[in-house]
Amino acid sequence: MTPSGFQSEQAVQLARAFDEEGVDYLFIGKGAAILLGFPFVTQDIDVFADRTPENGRRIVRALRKVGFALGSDQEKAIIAGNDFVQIKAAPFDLDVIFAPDGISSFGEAKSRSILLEGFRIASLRDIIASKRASGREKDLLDLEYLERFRQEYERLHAPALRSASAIALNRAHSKR
Amino acid sequence: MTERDDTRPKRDEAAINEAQLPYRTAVPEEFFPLRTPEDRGWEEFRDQCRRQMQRPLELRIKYGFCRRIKPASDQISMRAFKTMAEYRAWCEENLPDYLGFKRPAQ
Repeated sequence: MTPSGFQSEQAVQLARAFDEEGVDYLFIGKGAAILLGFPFVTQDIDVFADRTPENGRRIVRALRKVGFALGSDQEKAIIAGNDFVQIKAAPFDLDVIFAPDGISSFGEAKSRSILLEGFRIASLRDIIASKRASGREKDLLDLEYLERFRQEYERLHAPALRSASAIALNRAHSKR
Repeated sequence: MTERDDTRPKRDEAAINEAQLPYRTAVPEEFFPLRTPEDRGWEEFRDQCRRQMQRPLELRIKYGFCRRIKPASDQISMRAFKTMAEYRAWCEENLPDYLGFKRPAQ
C-alpha cells in the first residue's frame, strides 16, 4: 500500500493512540510548526520521543493500533532507541527521532511544549533550534520563515504569567 | 489635586488589540511610504501566518501535508540509524542534491 499524505483523521488517531498508550512524545519539525499554523507544506510527520525501552514499547503498540505493520526490525530499532527511525510503511510516512539535533533533553523540551487539541507539540524555539543545528540546506531555507512565524505566533499567543510554584511543578512533572 | 495631563498621545486601543480585529489584508501604503519590496514580502508572509493560525487545525493539516515520491528515500519501507550522524551521512551520500539534505558547505 502506498502511503498517502497525512490526513487529519490520521493525525487525531495517532495523537489518541499515543495518549492511550501513555507515549512520552512531541511532534517536532516542520510538520509540528504546520500544526501551529506555519503556512508551509511538508510530507511527513516527525515525532521526538523519550528514549526508554518502555516508551519504545508504547510507541510500537500505538503505531500498530493506527495501522502501521511494523516488523521485528522496526520494533527492535524503536525499543532500542536508535537516534533516528524512518518508517515508510503505510498509512503515512513517520520519522521517530530520539535525539534531534540542537535539543539537549526530552524533559526540558517537554516542559516548553504546547498542548493543542490533544497534540503535544514542541515549542517553536525548539523546532527552530533543531533545524538550525541540522545545518541542511532545506532546513536553513526554512529558518527565516520559521523565525518570522515564531514572532507572529508568540505575539498572538503571549504566555500567561505563571507563578514560581507552577513553573516548579511543571519542571518536576517533565523530569518524571 | 493635580490636573490630568491631556497632552500625552491617546492610546489607540484598536491598534493594541489588533489580534482581535477582523483580518485586514494590508496596511495602507501611505502609512509606510518607505517600505521596500522585501518589507512588503514579509508583510504578506505575516498575513499568511495570521490567516493560517485562524484556520481550524483540521484545515491546517489538510493544506499542510502533501506527499510526493522521493527518489532513494522511498525505496524501502523502513530504515534506522543508531546515531544522527549516521543518518546525515546516509542522506548526503544517497539522496539527490535537489532534495536539500546536504549541508551548504559541501
